[in-house]
Amino acid sequence: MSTTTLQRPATPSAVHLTFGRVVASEWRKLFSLRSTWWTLGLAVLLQVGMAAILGAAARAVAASGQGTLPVDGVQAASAGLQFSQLAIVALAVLTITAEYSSGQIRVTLAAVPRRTPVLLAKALVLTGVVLVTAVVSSALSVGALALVAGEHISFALPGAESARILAGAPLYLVGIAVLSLGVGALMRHTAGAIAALMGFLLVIENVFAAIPWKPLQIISPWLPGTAGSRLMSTDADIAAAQAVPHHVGAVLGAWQGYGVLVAWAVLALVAAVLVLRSRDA
Amino acid sequence: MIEAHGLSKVYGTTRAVDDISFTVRPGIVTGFLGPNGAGKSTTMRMIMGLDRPTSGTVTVNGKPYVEHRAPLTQVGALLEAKAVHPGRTARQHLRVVGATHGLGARRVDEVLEMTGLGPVADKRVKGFSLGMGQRLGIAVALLGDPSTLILDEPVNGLDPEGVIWVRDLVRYLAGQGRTVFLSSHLMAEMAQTADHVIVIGRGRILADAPMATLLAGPGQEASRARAPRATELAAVLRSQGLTVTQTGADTLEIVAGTPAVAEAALAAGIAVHELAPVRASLEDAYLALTADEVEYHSGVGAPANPEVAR
Repeated sequence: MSTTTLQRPATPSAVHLTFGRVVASEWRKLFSLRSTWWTLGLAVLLQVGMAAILGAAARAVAASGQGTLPVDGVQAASAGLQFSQLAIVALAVLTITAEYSSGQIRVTLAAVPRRTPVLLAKALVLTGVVLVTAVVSSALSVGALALVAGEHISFALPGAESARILAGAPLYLVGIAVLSLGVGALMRHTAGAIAALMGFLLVIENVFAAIPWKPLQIISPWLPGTAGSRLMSTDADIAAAQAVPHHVGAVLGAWQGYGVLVAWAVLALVAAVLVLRSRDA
Repeated sequence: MIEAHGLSKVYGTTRAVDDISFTVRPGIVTGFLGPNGAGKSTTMRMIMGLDRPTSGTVTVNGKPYVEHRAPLTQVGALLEAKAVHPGRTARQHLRVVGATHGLGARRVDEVLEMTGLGPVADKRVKGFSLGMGQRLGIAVALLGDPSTLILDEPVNGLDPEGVIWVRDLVRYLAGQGRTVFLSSHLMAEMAQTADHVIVIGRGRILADAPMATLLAGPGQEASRARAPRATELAAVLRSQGLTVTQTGADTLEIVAGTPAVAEAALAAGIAVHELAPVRASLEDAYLALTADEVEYHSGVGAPANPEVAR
């Protein structure tokens, strides 16, 4: 693959392509736009905001004497992901579709004519940025929840399970980001790609999960959002679903589900690379 | 040095570029002239590896463009103005492109200075005029200090000062021994800038010759005469079967060489105050060459190609 030729050790002073430099260029590209800060900020705000709302709800429930909210603290902290993932979808799609709408793509591909490193560098930069943002966002969400709900929400799950659910949010968002980049590169159109992804993640997946028709129930667990969010399910929920006799459709474990999301993301990225290499720019 | 061999590009049933071969040599400015839709931009994109040829090959300095280890140092290209995310500043755009090759702030400052973009370097491209966009595109092309420059319609949208600047710049770059390949539909501009011209029409090369040869190329001789008794002279010349156009009260244009006009005037005893050959302009040569090749002819009375700027 072309990246191997680009990864030759570089003489620091020499002017030529390296994969590391393509990554540096993509990093600079992402952070020279205000929209990047807006979308990342929005993603954080949505997750933390949702955690704060759940915290307030827990406090209200306790005050009315109806016991406690039936969710663990770590789950409540990642509840906002339903919404914050949409900001990540927009960010990831725009990193490639904005290049097509402005014509920048031809400048980019003239500088990196092998093309593949461009998409791989974008995926790498997105992974890093989304991972860091989501870790910060999850930490802030736990903080907001503890601050608002006080003793009315419990962080009672075992350590390993809590850790998996907390780490699940950043990992899930990385999977969604790479999937979105791939879809954006395949569609080359901002509105189309965002509409397709949001429609899929928010509408189609939920419809598939809700309609008790066997073919849909068999497909549903394998869809990217549904599968990926298994990583944020509790062991008890997964065990309960697996215990149902003659359950229609597969019941994926937490990491199995995440593996399915990663497979979707890799598939989209590989398809995008193949198309980028073969189509005229 | 750019070398194309049997280069073709087919879109569906349209042969945008049809089996063309040419060489663009270093040290001179080579113009690429043709009506809109003739295949100029497609050819340039194929040189840059952006469009894949349907058949044929094109190399830059002996290798396909994509095989170079430092592409920006081989070819600098301006393919379209304002091919920049509108939210970035000129400096950020140049830093992004330079970063791929390890070119940093110092080189970016240099090209900003060379293209006169210094004062607007930190303004977002959103607010740039077409001319400023062209200058930024040229700055990107110069970034890698390339041995070959490919400029697609570089003077489009530039003010007269900018046009002169581009002309001087490309002549200077060619003078340094670089290969300069620029397209234009502004024929007068091409006549003043290029040393060698490749004329393309409907995807085929119609002429590939030094500018001087093209200007002196096939075409009928013509003369311009000024005479107080112009109308009388016109009648005499017409009686000899020549085509004459009276262009003013005392001026004529005759489709014939100056000797024939002088002899006829002398024989008729008509004084001629001025007599000069009419040199075919590049525009005339170009229109003669492409007359059959433009895709859409306009109606009677209009120029053969309405897109041609005069």
